[in-house]
Amino acid sequence: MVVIVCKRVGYFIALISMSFLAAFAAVAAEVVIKHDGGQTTLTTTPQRVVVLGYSFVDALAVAGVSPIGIADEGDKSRVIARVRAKIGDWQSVGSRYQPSLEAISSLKPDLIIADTGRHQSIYQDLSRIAPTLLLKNRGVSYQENIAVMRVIARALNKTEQVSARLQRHHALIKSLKAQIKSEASVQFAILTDKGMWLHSPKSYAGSVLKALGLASPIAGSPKQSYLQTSFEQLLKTNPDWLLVGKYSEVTVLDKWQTSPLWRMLSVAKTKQLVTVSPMLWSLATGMLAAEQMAEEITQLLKE
Amino acid sequence: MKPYPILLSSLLALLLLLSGVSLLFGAEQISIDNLVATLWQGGDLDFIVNQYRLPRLLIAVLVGIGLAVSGLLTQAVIRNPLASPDLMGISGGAGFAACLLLLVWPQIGSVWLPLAALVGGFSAAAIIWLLNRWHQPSPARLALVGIAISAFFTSCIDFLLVLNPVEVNSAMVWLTGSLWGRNWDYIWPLLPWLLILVPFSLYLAWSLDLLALGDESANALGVNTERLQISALFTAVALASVSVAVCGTIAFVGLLAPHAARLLVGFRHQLLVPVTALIGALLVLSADTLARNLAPPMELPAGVLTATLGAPYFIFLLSRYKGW
Amino acid sequence: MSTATVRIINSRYWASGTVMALLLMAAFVFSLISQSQFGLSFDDLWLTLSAPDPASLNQQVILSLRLPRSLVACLIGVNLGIAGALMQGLTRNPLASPTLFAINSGAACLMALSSIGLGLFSDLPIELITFIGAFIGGSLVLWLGGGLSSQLNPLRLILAGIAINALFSSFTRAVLIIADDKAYSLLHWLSGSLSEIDWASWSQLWPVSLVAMVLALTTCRGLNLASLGDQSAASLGLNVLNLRLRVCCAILVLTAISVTLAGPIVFVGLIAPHICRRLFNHNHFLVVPLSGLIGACIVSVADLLSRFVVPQAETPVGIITALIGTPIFIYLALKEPAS
Repeated sequence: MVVIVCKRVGYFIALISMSFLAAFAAVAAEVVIKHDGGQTTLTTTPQRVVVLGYSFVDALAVAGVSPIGIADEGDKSRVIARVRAKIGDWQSVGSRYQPSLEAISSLKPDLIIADTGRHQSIYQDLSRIAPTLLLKNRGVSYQENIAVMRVIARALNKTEQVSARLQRHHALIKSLKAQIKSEASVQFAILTDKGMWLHSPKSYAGSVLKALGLASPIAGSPKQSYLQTSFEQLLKTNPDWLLVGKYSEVTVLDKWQTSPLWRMLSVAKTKQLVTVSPMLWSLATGMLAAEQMAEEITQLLKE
Repeated sequence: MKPYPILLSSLLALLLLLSGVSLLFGAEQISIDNLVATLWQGGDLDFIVNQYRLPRLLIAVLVGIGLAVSGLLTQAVIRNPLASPDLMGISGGAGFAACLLLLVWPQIGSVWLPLAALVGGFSAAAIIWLLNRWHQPSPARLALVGIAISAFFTSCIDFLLVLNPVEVNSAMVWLTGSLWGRNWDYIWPLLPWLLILVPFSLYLAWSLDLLALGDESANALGVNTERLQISALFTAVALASVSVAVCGTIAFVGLLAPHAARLLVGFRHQLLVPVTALIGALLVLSADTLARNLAPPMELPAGVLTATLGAPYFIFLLSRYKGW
Repeated sequence: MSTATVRIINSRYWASGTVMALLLMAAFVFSLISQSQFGLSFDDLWLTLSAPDPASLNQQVILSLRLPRSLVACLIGVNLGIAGALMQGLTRNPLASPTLFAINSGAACLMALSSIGLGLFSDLPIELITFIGAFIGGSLVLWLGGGLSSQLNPLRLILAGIAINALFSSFTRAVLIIADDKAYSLLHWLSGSLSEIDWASWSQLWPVSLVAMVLALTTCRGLNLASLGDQSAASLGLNVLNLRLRVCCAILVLTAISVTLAGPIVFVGLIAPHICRRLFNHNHFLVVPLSGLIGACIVSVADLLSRFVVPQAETPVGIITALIGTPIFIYLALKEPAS
């Protein structure tokens, strides 16, 4: 009889403690995220996520979550291969500048991640569809993006996974930095048929190069991320390595190469002018993209 | 010519039908019963219907009315059926002022934009008005001054954009005449102006008919032409500026709606004002509905569609206009 | 007229002309060396002339980059000035300008469409596309504005220009929204920029301009007569339609080649003839070439100034001409006696 009572009390205690634990867990599962749009409380772990920027896709891939909708301008190839390999299929919700609110709403997401630079004006509308985080995407630098990744990881309840992966990432960058050991100045630029834009150390590509210990040929510390550069300015900047991402077949570089001043550029003499993918170097702006960029530049500098 | 009440009610019916179509179609298809249920009770599709399509529909109608009546008044005052506020630099001035505000204070709430646009629109109108007063230019000269002022404001806007490249796209989206991202917050700054000014235009309508007879005849009939012209122009500029403040420049509505109305009901302004308003609403609403549905989920700006439809029709009008 | 008065008038013209020419030369020389990344100075300029050294970077910069740019700026200014004078003579309206013919907006529209890779446009060289766009714009306005009919109604031409302009610019704006990555580079071009000019541009520019200028000069006599009114001119033996065709052709070519190389540069064609008529007289034999001279001044000075707005960076020259131009234009419009 006493045994039975003890058992019952035991069960009772176990039940009570389990309920406390469950309640505690439920409260703990409620996460408050501070972001550029204020504060958002997530009561459950989001499963259906819509993202409106390419660096967010990268962050989700690292966290092991597959987004159900991406603002990819209707072109799935804009997401780089490394990121695409880690996520499933998704629906396009339009362009980053004018995402279709209807398309987002019809996907019934439980979390939306939007860009502070582009979506401030529709933040209210997005919040009506689902809890929305406003984080920096346009003009983000390498270090800022790591911070953004941690916020996203917290929201998705994948902090441990992402932290571990970030540790491996930092180790990789450190080892690549040791392998490079070069004094050469490296510059990334975007080329169109109308001009050349240098990506300064404030831009994503520029800050990745800086993290690898590579020198920037730009004098002073420019406040802008993208500097439009004329041929004369390029001659003055004169980087040792020039990586170009081309947005059109024919660019101003072809014109400049016919000028007698071209041979005064050191990249013309050393042939250290390399064409790279603008999708990867300019558009992707994520951790996986940074790793790929670092590997590419290490490969180039070791030869 | 149809009897007036029948015409008015058929236009209203057409507008209601188009509204229904606009609410039904979009990136996501909705059935009619779903639509009715959502309008009354909310539910799953509450966001799409009540927070997205419905306010957008209402804004399109309001802006259409504003631009159309503004065009009608401008044409009456300048006495040239080919004048319109966007071609006179008023939209340019309104756009520049609002753009300046957006670029200098990106966090500004949307309620301040109509005020800024009004200031800009009135400055541009003041320049034109003064020129009209002092030099009595021919319609050709006035049109040219309008273009020059428009071009000036466009260059100023481009200058601002070149200096602040980070904001280029948001300014562009706003400037082109697009209803994307316009929700209930944009209706409240717009509605009061329309509620006051459109009935006021009806009130002016009778005097405007007299004005069309010529300044001396109108004066002889007891109309204070000076005051009438100022009030009409004031109303026109206010309506145009407020519409531009909410949606950017939606071209050709102020030019075409009065014309189409004249084809239907003749030249009496008392009849013209309501018909013009309805036609303007129809124009902008159909442009926006098409813009949303041509290539979902990508959206075109409504202003492009009005220009695509408007320019050829304008040219057709040009070739038929006998009053050279 | 007494000989004394004649001498005064002539010397006033010479004075104005000399001032303009000096201003032009000063702007030209300064733009060769100012605001350079390499800190160019007059010494470099002197050395380039006296002791040319192909290996010197400074000299090469002056010769290969600065010199063609300054030359092209001058010549484009001449083109636009002459086109403006012709336009105002054609429409008999001192407020008309080549922008009226939707040449700039047509070129911009086609350039924008090809930037987003619209089908049949992407294979051709960009200059050709822009030139075609300019021509399409101009021809559309001429045709729809009744330019080919016997009675030219300036108002109808103007309004056709407005309509086509609005049509093309709305397309361009839509492209700016759709092509978000390339929007900023497009915007830069749309404001009119001389930063990508090289010797190849010069070699494309001067033959076409020369032909068009000769054509323009042949119309001077006709324009003088036409200023009396179409009927009076016809009764004096002028073939009005032939004159109009030649004038329009000249305007089209002069403006199209300018917009192809440098993008739309506004207000030059509007203001240069005005200033010309103030300083000189209304005789088209003087107005047409001297508008060219004044246009060259305006563009050279604007290009020089554009380098100073944001140091070590390029501001589009079209913005400078617009900002200086409009107050001058409004002042002139207010001072102009009622027509």
